[in-house]
Amino acid sequence: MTVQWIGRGARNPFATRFIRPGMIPPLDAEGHPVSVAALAARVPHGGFMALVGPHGSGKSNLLAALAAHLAQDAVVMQSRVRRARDVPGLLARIARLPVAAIACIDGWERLGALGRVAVRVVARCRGCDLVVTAHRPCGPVLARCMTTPSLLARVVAMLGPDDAVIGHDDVTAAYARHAGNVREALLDLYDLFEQRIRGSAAGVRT
Amino acid sequence: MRLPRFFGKKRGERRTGSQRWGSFGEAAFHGALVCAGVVFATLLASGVAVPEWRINHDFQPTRCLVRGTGLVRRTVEDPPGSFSTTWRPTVLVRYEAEGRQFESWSHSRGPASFGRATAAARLPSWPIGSEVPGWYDPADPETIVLERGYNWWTWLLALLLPGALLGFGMTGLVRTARRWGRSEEAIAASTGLVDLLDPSRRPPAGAGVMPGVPACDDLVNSPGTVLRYRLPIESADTWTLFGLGLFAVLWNAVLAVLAVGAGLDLAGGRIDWLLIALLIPFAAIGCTGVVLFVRQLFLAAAVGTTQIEISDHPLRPGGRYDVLLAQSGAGTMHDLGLSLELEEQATFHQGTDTRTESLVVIQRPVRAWGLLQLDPTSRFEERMTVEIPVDTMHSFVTEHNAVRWRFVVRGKPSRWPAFVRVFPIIVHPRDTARQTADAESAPTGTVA
Amino acid sequence: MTSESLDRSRPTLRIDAQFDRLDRTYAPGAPLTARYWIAGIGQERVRSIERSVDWYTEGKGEEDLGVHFFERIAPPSPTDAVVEGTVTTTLPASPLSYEGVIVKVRWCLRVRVFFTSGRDFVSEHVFAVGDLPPARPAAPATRIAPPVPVVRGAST
Repeated sequence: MTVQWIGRGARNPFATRFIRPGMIPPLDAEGHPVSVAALAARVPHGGFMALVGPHGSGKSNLLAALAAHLAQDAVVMQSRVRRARDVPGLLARIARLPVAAIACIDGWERLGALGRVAVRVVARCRGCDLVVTAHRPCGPVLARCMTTPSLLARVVAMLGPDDAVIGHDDVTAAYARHAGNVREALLDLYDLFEQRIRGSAAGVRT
Repeated sequence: MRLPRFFGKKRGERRTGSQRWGSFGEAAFHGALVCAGVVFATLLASGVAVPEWRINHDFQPTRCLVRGTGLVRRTVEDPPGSFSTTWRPTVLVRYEAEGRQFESWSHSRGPASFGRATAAARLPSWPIGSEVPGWYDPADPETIVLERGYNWWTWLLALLLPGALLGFGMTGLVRTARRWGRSEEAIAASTGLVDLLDPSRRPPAGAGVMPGVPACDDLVNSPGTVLRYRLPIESADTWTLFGLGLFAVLWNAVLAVLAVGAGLDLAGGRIDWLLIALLIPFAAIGCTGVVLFVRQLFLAAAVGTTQIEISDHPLRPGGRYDVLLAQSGAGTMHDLGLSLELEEQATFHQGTDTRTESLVVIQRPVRAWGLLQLDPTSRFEERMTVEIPVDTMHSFVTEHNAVRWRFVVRGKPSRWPAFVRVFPIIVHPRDTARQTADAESAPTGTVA
Repeated sequence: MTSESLDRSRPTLRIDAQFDRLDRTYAPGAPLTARYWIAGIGQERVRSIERSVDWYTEGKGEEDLGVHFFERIAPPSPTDAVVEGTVTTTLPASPLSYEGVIVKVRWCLRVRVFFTSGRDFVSEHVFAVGDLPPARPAAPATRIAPPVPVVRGAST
């Protein structure tokens, strides 16, 4: 899908609309583009692969891009797990997949030990591949997601805020404040952007 | 019409680029369910429902002479290797049908579900030599029944299982058809089967209502004592109290059971050290729960209730409304303040986490009091006028975002922790006619 | 009216729109008429065109979408160099366009072109319903009057 937007006034480039998984092309730790095609070629048939990295390192974003690429040639199911009780629904969805489909699961650890075993068994029975995101290695690693200040700077440049509103120092400071969590840093920059364009008071957060 | 959704796409799940393949898979799955429903419905209709219907409509009445009674035994192997036996009473009767005499064992309706004793106990209902009514099958006069009527469970079974499969499958097929190759706008705009048949003839969604503005019904069902409405309180205090109380009761009930067991062991001369070792931390947690509950209860009782009444509801920007604040309780209140607030709330599912953020964008103090002496026999009351700011956003609530108006009462009693009590209000958009008049003065263009 | 296509692979495709109010600001309940032009379709065949008047949320929360007007129309003639159309609707009383801090509400005209290849191109033209000023984060509450001793009693 291609999007064209025509509007007026300053638009906060760090709104979730622009930073949610799938909206930013995947980048490596230094901010260089990642070859999603090369990653996709490493997904084995009937296998299990994990995208590993800490919170806010781009796992979900990379998974979304990978799923979109894989979907050109195969049936792909993408699912985000938030709690263990999502397991039955997830199992039902995998059970409905045709043979040789690919299940991309965001939040592998949230399935719980039993849920992970069940998902692996059902996927194996269906002959489906599993590509998951996890914070720690849990099997063959497809990619390790890491961040650097350069990566955040590159992402911010792609989002394209006015340099006069958000400067390089702001980006560096946001990265440091959130200890490398790019997602939190971007949301921090959202607040800073709003504050700068409105010249506002500190606000009352509840 | 919104179709029921038994399961399916959870929030946060999304199909990727191969929507058509995914939709094809879903359609095949739901199509299989529909087929299974049709097969089950056919089997149940032909095996249970139709025979019963024929007994009640086609079978002809006759008089039967009871010649003998007996029990039909049926043994089935289910599961394999395990046998179960059921018994059913049967009666040998002589009767006249189609101008001829017949003698045959009667058929019973329904499955053989009696135990042997139960089935035998029913046999005296047909004394040998007596004459009883019966109904024979005109297509096969040797088939005779001595009871008629409908078994509700037969029809329930006949309708329930195939009905569930058909309903499940059909709604899934319709849902898949609705989503097949459609944009997010088309899906959001669609309302049901009417739209499925012809989306272009559907009236605009939300026409004649106020989309995004929450309903006010729950806020105007309590009359006030002085003003028109008493606002409901939205505070976590009540739920905290309830939760602590429930926890304290349940935990200490379990503790009591364990303690009684340990006590009985001790009385019998046995000492279960493991149980006693477990009881000590359990008792500590139980006591902490009770202490927290009692503290919260005292806090709620000592601070007293706060009530707000208002002269009208819903409110509109620029409107002026009478508001009554009433505070009961006893002792000294160091500070008590009422403010009008507008809060934005946004929920974002970031990666695998859900993050909800709130920000107060309008906070207007209405009135504040200091060193308030509360009398338990008469509550403190203060009436004032509040104006909703002009040119401010109306109340707005969607699935992940909200803009909420509220009155907030903040108090600091002496010897007790400070409290915050929230009273939601609904603000509608400013009068539409006025805004239309304002907009008339704006420049217009021409669209050919 | 100018627009910048974000599609690198189909740089010529372009959708422009003109609203009947030059400032693109409408009162709630007011009629809206907008005309759009689709240019640069090229040789690719169009399967259908969807046009809708929507509102959506933007900010720090997930995006919520409301559709006020929706229409799917038949594909244009393959010989048409420029496809044009007009959308006319009466806007509802709410929600008003809102430039909040973490929640924003925007109204837009969306024109979506579906191609037989399965790809689609969507163009979004923002307008305003109502004329609310942008919100500003509130400063922490301040006391409006110094506390004065108050003796219990009904002062109404």
